[in-house]
Amino acid sequence: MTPRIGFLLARHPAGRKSPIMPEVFAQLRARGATVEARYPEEEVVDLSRLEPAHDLTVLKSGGDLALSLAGALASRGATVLNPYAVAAALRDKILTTRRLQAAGVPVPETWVTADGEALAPLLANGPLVVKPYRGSQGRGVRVVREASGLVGERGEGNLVFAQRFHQPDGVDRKIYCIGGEVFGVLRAWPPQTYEDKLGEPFPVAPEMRAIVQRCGEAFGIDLFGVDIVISEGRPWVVDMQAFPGFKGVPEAAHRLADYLWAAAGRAQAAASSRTPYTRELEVATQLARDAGEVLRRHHGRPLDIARKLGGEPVTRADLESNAVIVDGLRRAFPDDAIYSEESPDTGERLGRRRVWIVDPLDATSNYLDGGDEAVVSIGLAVDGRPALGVVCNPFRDELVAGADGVGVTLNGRPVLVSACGDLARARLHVSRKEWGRGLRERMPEALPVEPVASMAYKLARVAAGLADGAFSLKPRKEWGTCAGAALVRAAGGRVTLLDGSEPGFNRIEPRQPMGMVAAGPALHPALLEAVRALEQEQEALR
Amino acid sequence: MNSLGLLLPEAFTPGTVGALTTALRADGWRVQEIRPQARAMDPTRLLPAHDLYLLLSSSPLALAMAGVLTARGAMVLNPHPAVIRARDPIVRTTVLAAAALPVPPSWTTGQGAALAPLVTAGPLRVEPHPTADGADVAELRDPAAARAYGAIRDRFGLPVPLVATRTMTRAIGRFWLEVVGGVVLPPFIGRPGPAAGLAVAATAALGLLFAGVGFAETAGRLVITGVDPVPLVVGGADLGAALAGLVRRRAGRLAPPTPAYEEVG
Repeated sequence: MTPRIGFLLARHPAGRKSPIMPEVFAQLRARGATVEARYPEEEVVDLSRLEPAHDLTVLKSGGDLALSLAGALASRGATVLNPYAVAAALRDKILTTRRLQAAGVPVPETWVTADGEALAPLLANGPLVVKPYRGSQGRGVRVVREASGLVGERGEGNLVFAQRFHQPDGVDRKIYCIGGEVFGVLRAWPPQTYEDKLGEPFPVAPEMRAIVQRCGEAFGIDLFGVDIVISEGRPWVVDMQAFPGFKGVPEAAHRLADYLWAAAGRAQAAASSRTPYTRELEVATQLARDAGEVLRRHHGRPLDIARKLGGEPVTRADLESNAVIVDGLRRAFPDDAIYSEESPDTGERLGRRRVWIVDPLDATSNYLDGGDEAVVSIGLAVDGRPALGVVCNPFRDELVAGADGVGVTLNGRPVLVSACGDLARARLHVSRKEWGRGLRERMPEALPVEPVASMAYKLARVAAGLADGAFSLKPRKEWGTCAGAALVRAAGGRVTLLDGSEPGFNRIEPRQPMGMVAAGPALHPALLEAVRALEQEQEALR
Repeated sequence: MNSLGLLLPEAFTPGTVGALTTALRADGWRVQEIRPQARAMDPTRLLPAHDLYLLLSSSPLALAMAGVLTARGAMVLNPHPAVIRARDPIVRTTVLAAAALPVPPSWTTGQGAALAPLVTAGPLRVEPHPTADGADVAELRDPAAARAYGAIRDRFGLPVPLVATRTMTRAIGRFWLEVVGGVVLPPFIGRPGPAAGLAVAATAALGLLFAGVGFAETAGRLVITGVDPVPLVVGGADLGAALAGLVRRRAGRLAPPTPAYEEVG
């Protein structure tokens, strides 16, 4: 299908026009792409009806409105190049400097303050460059050599950004990266004419190339520009841009068209493979197997047990399994959020559409007791709904995997939830802990119940037709239920909370608000009613 | 001992912070009040020094500090990316509308004149983003006013985004609710019933753990007019106590101890 590419552009005065982007558009159109040039400042955009209209949205403009619009489109699922979060971070020189420095890139000493005069003592060690912390294209950049130059300096948003000034040995180096290829341009600063901006190409030395690669790695992009000053033979990265003009790059339009054509193709492929989650299932299945091996390796051996707040045990097995899964997911799906029981939760996941919800070892107590019901549980929630699940029990060699629109497999063999509709004949799973804490005494004899550890495992067994239903009177946490809930749904079953509503995922609090019931569609209504009666009886006893 | 860093504005009402620090210190927490305005900061040397940070200032320096701390692995509440989204009215409105939450009809452009056709259907409130102390906020009542409004440019001559919302001419009430950890704080007695649910949903849609949510009420209808991810200035002791509760709950999910924090200047 013809890729649709939308460009968010800024209108420049006639004298400032570069031929590069019009050539890029022409080349993309010649290849069959539908190209739309948008100038956000000249449009009126209805925010309540904003929907992505392109396979790829290219954020070329450095304007604030284009950035906000890119953010709004990204929140609606658009693929934005460079990604909105990266483009936004690169507009903030404070964040950019910190990330570059953390990646081992040489950056000048940097300070920020609300009071420019607080910088005066730093002038004792040499001049400073004062810049707007959200500026671009050299606007507002000045060198300050005397304290008088800081008097009354309040900066943009009352924020003064300053870096140590390093006297350049010659003209500045502009380095561009397009898809990993690196191009150097010598350019006098500030450029006065278009010819000045074209500068003079120069071969980029290996050590400088390595610096540029580290810049890209710091932000996970391969389309960008950096400004490098050489001072006393040492390179300093003084700025980085998400989509610069690429002036002076040989055959820039052709190279950019190649890059954008490929990016649009990737965006199309990603959109078409969004369901049925082919790659997600492959990756999650392999990670669940790898993590299962970790659990098997430590099983039955003495383990140091730490206690989390709330008293739950955590062991080296939990943490090693977690590292395998989290590292693997982060590498395979860098744009997704990860919410794992054994990783700190910064809350960043809350605004994300796709969130991996992981329990690296569900039923740690059973595991420590030498039981064989502990599992690895990897789920994917999309827009708060369980979309994909993989549950691996390495001790019984059972791996249940499935997703929306794909169905479910048990060790590679397609399975469905059971068709049983008779509660009296159903094979039901309940929590071992709840069973041991009074449920056994209150359970109606007519209900054929088997206690099983791990909510993830119980749900996976329902999805695979190995059990007819499962329930918990206690509110369960998302980590141990997301994958299982996705599996039951994908296998044709129903999962609800005790009030009959569907459980939501990627919520603020990890625990679901109430207990849970899962079964095939024929059994679910009767099981839900029976479990509610049990719950009411339990409430009455309290 | 758990430790908490409070990123605070230079001046604020003491009620919220007082209640918050008193409650946590009584539980044995070490609480440090940080006013980022006070000193020059070297962002390349800033490292997390607390188990948890609460971002209770919307100054550019506090936001920058929160961003740097987040990039270095600190747990900052509200999450820095969520605060950035919520503070951008263009992103915020799109997110809320996509979550089927009631927002006033809203548009964005760079030219006041482009709004002229919309004004014929009713007045618009227009403001630049970001706005400085309400400067250049206007109500456009006719196309001529829209054309006269023109474009706002920043100090480098670049066009500033304009956000226009349909004026709620028949609004019978305006109020704010505070949400912490999915719970609406009192007093909300007397507020329209659905407001509490809408406030919680708006907060969650934006990925915030606490916020003030503004409403306008017209005949039989509620509209969300704002979401403030840094609601400190309108809060009181109840907000402080609720934030302390949120901090305690999050304490169960903290990262391992982090290296020392260095501030220079």
